[in-house]
Amino acid sequence: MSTTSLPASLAGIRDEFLELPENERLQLLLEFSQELPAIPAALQDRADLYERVAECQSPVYIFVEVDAGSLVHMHATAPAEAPTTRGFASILAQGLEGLTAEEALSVPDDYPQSIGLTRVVSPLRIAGMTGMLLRAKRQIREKTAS
Amino acid sequence: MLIETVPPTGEIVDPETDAGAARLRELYALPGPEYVRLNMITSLTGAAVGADGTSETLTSPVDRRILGVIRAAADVVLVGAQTVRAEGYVVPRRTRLAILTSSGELDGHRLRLSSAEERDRVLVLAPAASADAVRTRVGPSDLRVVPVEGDAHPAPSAVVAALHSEGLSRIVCEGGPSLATQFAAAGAVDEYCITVAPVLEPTVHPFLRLEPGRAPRTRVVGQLADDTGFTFLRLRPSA
Repeated sequence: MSTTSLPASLAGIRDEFLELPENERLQLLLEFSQELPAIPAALQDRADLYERVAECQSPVYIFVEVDAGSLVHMHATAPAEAPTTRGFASILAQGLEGLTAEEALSVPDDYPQSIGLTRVVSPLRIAGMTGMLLRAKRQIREKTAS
Repeated sequence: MLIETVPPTGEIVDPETDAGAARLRELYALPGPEYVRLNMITSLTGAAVGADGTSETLTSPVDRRILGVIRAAADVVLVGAQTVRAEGYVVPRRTRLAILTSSGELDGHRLRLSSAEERDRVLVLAPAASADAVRTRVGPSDLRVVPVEGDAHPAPSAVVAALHSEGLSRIVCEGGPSLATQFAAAGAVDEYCITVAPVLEPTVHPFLRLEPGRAPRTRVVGQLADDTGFTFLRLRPSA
């Protein structure tokens, strides 16, 4: 499907969607929204670290850490009343988890369009997920700049 | 958009319509409660993987959709440990996953085993003699290990028997090539579901490495073709 290697975690998530008939994909997105990891205790009071994803209609905040081993950890908040958006945040948080900065930066910007949801959710929501991905990558670049 | 070419009905099957989805389920329905399918993808050159060592550059959204139909008609996906690592398998949501390993070496896997529910869907199959060692090895991930009778390289029939003993009789083996070849050469496959991707790739690993005289005789029971040049074949052993 792709000419460059998508990290296995994100390819696996994409394939889960593609294996389903379109009318079951929203349900899978809902399952992902329920899996969005909670903010770690250490970051509960660090709202200053988080970036608002303006491309999302609902309030979504992300903070991407690059740890001492150069591994990526994305933390996100999204309201429970916005399950589509929460689902997207969850996909990225799970898919980017533990990747090297280089692997995360090589994720194609059009990943959100490749997971079989373009006929299932509105273009505005897909654009929201793209916003999350691009901002996450920018945070990674900033944190790995020498 | 798919078209039925064998049998040559010329019917259009659009997986995204209710009628098309139903037709796909019908075409891939199992003839009985015990069935072993082998599902593989290959390039025109017989390669199981592309340049990156995975099937990522061979597969397509329609291929994944058909894989979904095949998995939905199965109780368990059976795959070799090396392939779990190389292909970055995730635990299928609606089917169990059985991983065949002799060493219990599952490091580097991308299985998201974050919930007990997910861990319960995964089985590790190991040769009976090394089952305890494998249990120790996979202990930290809390996965269940099921012993397979026989020696260090269990026969496909023993692997199938182990899965039957777990109540899993509708099996789809997804490779890798080494496991697929063992099953094919042993005559343990009831149906081959082969995706042929219309690309030319160097064949480092043939998707089936069959020795002369050990090639199963088969007949084509079904073929779908899509508008990007992919074909989706179903073959069964002939008498």
